[in-house]
Amino acid sequence: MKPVVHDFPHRAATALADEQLQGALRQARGGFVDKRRKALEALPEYPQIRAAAADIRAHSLAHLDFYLERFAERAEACGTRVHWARDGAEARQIITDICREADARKVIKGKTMVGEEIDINGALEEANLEVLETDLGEYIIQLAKETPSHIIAPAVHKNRAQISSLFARAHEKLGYKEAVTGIAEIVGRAREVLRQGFLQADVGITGANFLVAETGSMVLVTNEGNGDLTSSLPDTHIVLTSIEKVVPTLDDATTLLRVLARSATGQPITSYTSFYTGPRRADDADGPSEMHVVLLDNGRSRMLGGDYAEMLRCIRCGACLNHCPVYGSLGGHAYGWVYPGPMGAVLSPLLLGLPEAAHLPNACTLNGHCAEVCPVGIPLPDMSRKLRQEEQAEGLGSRRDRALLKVWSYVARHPRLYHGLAGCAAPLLRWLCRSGMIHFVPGLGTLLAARACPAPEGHSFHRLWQKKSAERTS
Amino acid sequence: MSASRKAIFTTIRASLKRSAPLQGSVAGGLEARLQNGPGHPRPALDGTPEEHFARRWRAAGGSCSRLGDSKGVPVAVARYLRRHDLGSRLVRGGGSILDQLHWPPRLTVRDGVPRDEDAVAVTEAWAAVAETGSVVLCSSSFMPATLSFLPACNLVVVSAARILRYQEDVWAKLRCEGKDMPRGVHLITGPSRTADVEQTLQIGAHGPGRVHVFIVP
Repeated sequence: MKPVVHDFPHRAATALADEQLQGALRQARGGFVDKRRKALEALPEYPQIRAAAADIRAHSLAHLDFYLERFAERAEACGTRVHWARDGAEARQIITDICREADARKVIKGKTMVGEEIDINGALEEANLEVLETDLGEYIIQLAKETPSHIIAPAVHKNRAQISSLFARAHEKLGYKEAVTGIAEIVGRAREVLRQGFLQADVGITGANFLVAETGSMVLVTNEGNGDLTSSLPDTHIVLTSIEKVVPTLDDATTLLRVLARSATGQPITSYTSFYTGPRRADDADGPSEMHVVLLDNGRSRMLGGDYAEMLRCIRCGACLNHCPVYGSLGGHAYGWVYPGPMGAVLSPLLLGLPEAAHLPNACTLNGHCAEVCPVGIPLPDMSRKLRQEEQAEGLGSRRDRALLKVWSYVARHPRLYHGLAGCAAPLLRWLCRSGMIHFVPGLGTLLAARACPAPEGHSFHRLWQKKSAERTS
Repeated sequence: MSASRKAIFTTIRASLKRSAPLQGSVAGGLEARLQNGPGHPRPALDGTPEEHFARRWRAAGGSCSRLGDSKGVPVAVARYLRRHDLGSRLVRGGGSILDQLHWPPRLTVRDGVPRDEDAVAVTEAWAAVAETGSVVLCSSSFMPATLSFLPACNLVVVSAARILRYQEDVWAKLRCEGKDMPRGVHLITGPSRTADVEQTLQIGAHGPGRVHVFIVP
């Protein structure tokens, strides 16, 4: 999708005013958090396993060239064709070329966030290919012509009634007269309709959760089984993923799998965890005759050298989204691109550039919850803060914000001035809001309308502290 | 080597502050790590691997029973099909256990790759993992990968001796049997599921909605 991250303030306001979306977000909010908590309570070894997972990701990235080369060598030895794409345009070209060579008409897809990043569906449709998403959430948003709003629950913003009417419209031409309204019926209908898609497709495209250097394998994690049908039924299997997903060994992948599903859905392991290595062997009973792995860079190799290399550890579990109050209030679409929530607020500016995406690191309360729940120890709030500093240093952002920050930084570095101003402001604010909460300050517009602050005590902290110390010593 | 590949590696190495591929002792260290990696922490298990496996498999929504003899599999399968009203046709994979069985004439049994209309598959797990309650299916000439995913019901035969403690033990067993990685190694844990509609768990998505394990001695 074309990024519209610069439009964040407007999209955020729209999201907050969207009653239906707010209802869906309220429903989703607690669920993921509770499930993760319960899963980790049942795993006393979690702190050690998490530390090992973070080490594995750090080690893999520090030797990325070595492990990528080994992965490619092993994968090619098993008959996989490995393709390298510097950017989205190259990856789209590679994949449409593979489809053309395979004489393909129908393409089925498992969920791939890299695919969303490079808008692979757009490219395939432009090449006159029929594209069918098979993850239920992805299928729903494909019917709605929308983009995912969550990296592991793409249709979390849709309610049952909306899904029911999307299905009714799409399935009428397939001969279905009745609308499905219950959850079981909706899932059953999707199974029925997509099954023909699986059986008829010429090419299957999936993402990869990990790549394994030791064996040249790719790891695919799903609950629906759609990823495995996509990988196994069509004659050509294309894996679209990015260069940072490689880990050294099968054992390393196993450690990461121990934290991935628990952090994402609270499961000890997903229903299906598959390790794919090469196309079907000569005497195999089934499987694709061709396997391709497309490795996308798109700015990641450059990120590896800077202050944000740790962001490449991300294993896309979505825990940071589920624990973020900003994501919880806005949902994913407000973020204006593929990656929402805390991981997106850091990754989007790095992949798209600050001029497009500087709003995102600012839309963060720095509460630190995302870093706490991250299974691979990415210091997300520190990175958001660093991106804000860069935004200032590059002179981006509105003139008003820059001026206000300059004034603040001057005042904060001059204690006497600070105390003087705080001494005046505290009683003034106290007087302004006799109800105990501040809803309005002249000059700040509607800033406080949705986020009232408690009124100050009437004196600055320093005054109160001095008073308290004096009382204690007297 | 494609131009893109070259450019990507050049940028990666520049970012990692080196100009050439790793050599000497650093590369040797990584090579050694690939051969014999650090042992990572693992969750503690309680009970025997078989008990732990059965508990975790059931917690994931699968059902499970123990047979006194692998020869009892056909009768147990027939009984399962009758109890759940699943008809009398099944498609089966091969393996050291499945290949020895004699199926009762009231069942229609076919070998090989499943078709759309096949509702029940019988497969033989290459191994199982106690920690997560997973069965491990390896694709081969006699075990089509799609058997585990296409039919709505999957009945899996697991030899008790092949229930390993951890996923790492599966990798060790593969290496030690000198086996190259098959095209697909599938760790399957319970029935397929989705929570994509209103975050409500629904069992039975694209993969089988019904899975049963027969543990045999």
